[in-house]
Amino acid sequence: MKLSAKSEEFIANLRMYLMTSGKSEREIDEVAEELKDHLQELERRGESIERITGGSPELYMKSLGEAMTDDRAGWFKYLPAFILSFTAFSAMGPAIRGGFELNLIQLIGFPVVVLITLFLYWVMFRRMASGSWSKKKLFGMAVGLSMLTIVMFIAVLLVGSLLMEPFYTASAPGNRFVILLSALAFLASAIMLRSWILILIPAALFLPEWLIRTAPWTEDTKLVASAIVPFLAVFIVIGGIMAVERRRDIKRRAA
Amino acid sequence: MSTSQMLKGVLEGCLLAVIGMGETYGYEMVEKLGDYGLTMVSEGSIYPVLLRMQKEGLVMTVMRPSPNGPKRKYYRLTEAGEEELAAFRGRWDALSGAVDQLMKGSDEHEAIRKK
Repeated sequence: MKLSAKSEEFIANLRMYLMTSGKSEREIDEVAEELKDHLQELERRGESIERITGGSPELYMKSLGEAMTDDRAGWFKYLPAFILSFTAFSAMGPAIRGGFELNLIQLIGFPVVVLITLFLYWVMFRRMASGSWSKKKLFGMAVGLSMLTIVMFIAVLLVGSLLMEPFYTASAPGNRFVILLSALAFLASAIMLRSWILILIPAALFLPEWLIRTAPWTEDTKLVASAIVPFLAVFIVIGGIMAVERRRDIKRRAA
Repeated sequence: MSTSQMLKGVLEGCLLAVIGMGETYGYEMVEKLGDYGLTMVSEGSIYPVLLRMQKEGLVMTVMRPSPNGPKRKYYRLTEAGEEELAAFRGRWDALSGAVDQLMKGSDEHEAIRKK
């Protein structure tokens, strides 16, 4: 039996709330399964989710969270994979274009921007999970936050290149070495997270760009192609991943 | 004081008693509590208590597939849980007996005053 959209949303929000509270992953899975089972019984009986939450999902999530084990260290194990893949993402593009360089302001500025962004997204996800913001406000915040992130990145990029000369500019073999290192970093993070996404998305983003660069086309064609093809490829990969996930989900329910 | 506030302190004891009757899972516990007239228990409120009991080692759990899809978590009392249930029973007998006596006394006092 399939759960109602409202119940599914509650379970997803509960997971997000407990995750952003740094609770143990195993306990989150267990309690989510347990509540799903209970909600199915309730819905079969024609009763609403309020029988569980007592009317306030926010207070209910809090009471569950207080009874659960903290496991912040468990979540921090994802940090190395995150740092590796973020560094690889920012290094691979310039290296493929043959212009990898290191600048002190950018070297310090980017990690700072990433930390600020992570913190702001954490706040937003928590608010989203506890349902204390309206859909409209949430949408506004999400748009605002992604714009702010882009603005901060561009600011660091501009300030860095305007104020300071790079202390390292890669030669052609240097660029190839950076590409190789980045590919290894993606591979390592994919293994650490046991997920194909960190191989598929960089491949979709950078492989077309690299192929286009080496293609026997005019510079104009290359410019247009490298502006469109990588984004299309990422779009297709994300669509494919979502389709596979959905099919897996249907199969799991049928089993 | 609301019923849910009064229940807070005794819910753990009630759950120990229900689980003590045999291996069971969340939704079934609510049904069993209801069979004994404890219909005022908010269904969700048992889960934070169960999590705490699990952490304190009063119950052990096992996940098994349920007939309707998601895995179901079954609870059983540990030895410490059995001991805690016996201790709760003792405290409850003393407390409920004393409160009963007090209420009876207060009723009689009221009746005499009215005369």
